[in-house]
Amino acid sequence: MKKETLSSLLFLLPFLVLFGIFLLFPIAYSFFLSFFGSPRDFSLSNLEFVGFSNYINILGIHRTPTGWKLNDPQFWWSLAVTVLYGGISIPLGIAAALGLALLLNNKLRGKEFFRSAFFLPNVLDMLVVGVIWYLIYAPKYGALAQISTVFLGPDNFFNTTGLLGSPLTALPAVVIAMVLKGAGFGMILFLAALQNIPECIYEAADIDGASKWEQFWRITLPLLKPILVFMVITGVIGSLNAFTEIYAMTAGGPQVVIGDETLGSTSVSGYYLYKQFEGGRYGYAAAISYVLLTVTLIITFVQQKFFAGAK
Amino acid sequence: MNRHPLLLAFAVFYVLLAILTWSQDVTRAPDGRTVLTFWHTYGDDETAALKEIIADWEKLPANARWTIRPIRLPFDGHKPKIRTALTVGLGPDMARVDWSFVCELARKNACVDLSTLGFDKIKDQYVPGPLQTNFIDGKYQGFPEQTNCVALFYNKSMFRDAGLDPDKPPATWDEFIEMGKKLTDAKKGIYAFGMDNTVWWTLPFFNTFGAHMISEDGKKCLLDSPQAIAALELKASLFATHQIEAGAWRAGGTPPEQGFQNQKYAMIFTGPWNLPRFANSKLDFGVGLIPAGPAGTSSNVGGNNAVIFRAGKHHQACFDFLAYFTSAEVQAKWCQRLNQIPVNLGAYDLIKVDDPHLKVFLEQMKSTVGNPVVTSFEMLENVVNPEMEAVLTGQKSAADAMRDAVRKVETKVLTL
Repeated sequence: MKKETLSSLLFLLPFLVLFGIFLLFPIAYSFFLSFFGSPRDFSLSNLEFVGFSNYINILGIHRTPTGWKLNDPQFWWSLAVTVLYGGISIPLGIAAALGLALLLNNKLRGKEFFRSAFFLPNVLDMLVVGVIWYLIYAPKYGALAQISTVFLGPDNFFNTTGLLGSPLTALPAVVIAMVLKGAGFGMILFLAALQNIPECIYEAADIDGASKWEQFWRITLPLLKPILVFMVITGVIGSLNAFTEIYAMTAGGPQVVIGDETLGSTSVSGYYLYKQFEGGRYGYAAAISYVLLTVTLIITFVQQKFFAGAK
Repeated sequence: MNRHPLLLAFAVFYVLLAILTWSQDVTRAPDGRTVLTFWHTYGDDETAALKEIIADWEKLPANARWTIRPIRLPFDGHKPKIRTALTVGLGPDMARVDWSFVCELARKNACVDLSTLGFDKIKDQYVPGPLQTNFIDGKYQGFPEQTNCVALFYNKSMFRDAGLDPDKPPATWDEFIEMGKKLTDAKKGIYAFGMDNTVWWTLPFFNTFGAHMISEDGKKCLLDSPQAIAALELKASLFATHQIEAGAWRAGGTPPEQGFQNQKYAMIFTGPWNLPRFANSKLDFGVGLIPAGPAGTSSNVGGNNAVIFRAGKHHQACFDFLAYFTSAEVQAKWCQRLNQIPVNLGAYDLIKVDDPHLKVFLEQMKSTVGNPVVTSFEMLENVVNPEMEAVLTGQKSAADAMRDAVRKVETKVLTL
């Protein structure tokens, strides 16, 4: 081995040791764990090998007197909720961030204050933001309930049930909270990109008689495409990792009955995984995490292909 | 190295310090006594009382060989901490744990079967409900150590305003509904009752109907029994049919204790831990027994148990300490000082309870029924709570929900 390579490795060693112990080993161990049932004692050696049973229980189907059924409908439901969560939050998040950036890119008095104000929620911890919004949405005593009561009387939906109390509104309510939390970060990215677009392009468009709307669609938006791609990719990752906001605001509920299955209307896959782990089904939770990893890899691959021309 | 003499000196000093302070035997106190570690989750007042009890026990001639080292853990983190310690073989000799944790510890072979140490001779002195939470797979695996249950808290001034006798809380579910209708004024946001919707908080309903959740052998879920279905139907009817419950169990709903304190809920179920809080807020409240159902009044069991770990070497000494700690005399002192409910039946005759509210809890405690014994109570809650919510929101009948709950409990909980 070359002396330079050896010294490089030596310098990297502290990081590699920590990386190996705290990241690589748990990742490998959870894959190993996904082939085992619940531990029979507290040691790491006495595990019941179950082969692919956990994966079959997650992904498989079985026959019942009334027809074929999914082995774990709650897992598939949680995936669907995650897709819905991402499907609403990503476009809304981009629209909010872009809207704020366009507004604050004008000659507005005190725009520095607004930029800081909109960015501030992004600095706060997700759990804190979740609790704040939980209190805003709360029926009876929440801010939204109090305001709505003034205009609509005490029998209005916000005061009686609350946005988090209905299966139809709980997920959109979480999305609104998270969009407003994250919009400031996207706004900064869009602002930086907007300020890099040369003014002369707009002047040329003005001379050619393009309206402001046409300028936005044909000049601004195409030149913001790299930021849009970045926002979509980070949005997808954020949706697949969603957990804290659900934990803080809804605990996966309220419940909705579909067929004869009782399902959490906001139970995203990350939260469903956590509940399995919390309940002591470690092997099963590990298997779910690897199924989710596979889903993430597929989505990432598709995104790479889809956005390949964005550069 | 010659360039960094200071660094070298520090390194040598550190190595020397490590060698000099190294002790092969951390289980021996300086006075030669053998150390028994006891992990607990007590608060400040309880820790002070515990230290005095330990000192008294150590003074006894029979215990001259032993010293107890109490180590405090935060209650919220005690389960993962103990799991981790047991995994790496660094657990304590004994620990105070939440009642729901004993089953997991026992089924994972972590704690000692107390019958082998003489528990059968003393088991009859304990209150049946908390004792039952230690009876796992035919063996007593822990001591009942501290217990509580929930009872009915009611607001006397709201009773007066509704034209009800403030000294007569509802004794049966029928009376509860009848009084509830008089107490509720939905337009003003005032409700007769605010309730939680988890398994543990629903146990008073199940128990007053004589319903059992899990069979004695731990292999079957019995939630689809007529008693369990009737109990759940009653619970749901308080919200949906009679509309005397506020929906406190919903996301964002005003929690029962907060609603009671704000005089929005006239009645709630809660435990003795809230007595000081409501007394300090100058609420005019009373405490009554849980309304009786077909099986009479009953409640759930909360609190903590104490277990002895297999990995420790001195099981008998730990047993002797815990037997002393939970004996009638010590329990009487402990409960008198800390305003708690004894786990030892003999202590009931020794303590003088002036607080009329606590007296109700002592009475309620006698009718408690052991909680369901499952390896993971968290998983039981994860599976059953959504089904109960589906009943409360009218999306499922109680019979359908309990049928589905049985299927899920038997596949996801009883297989753990």
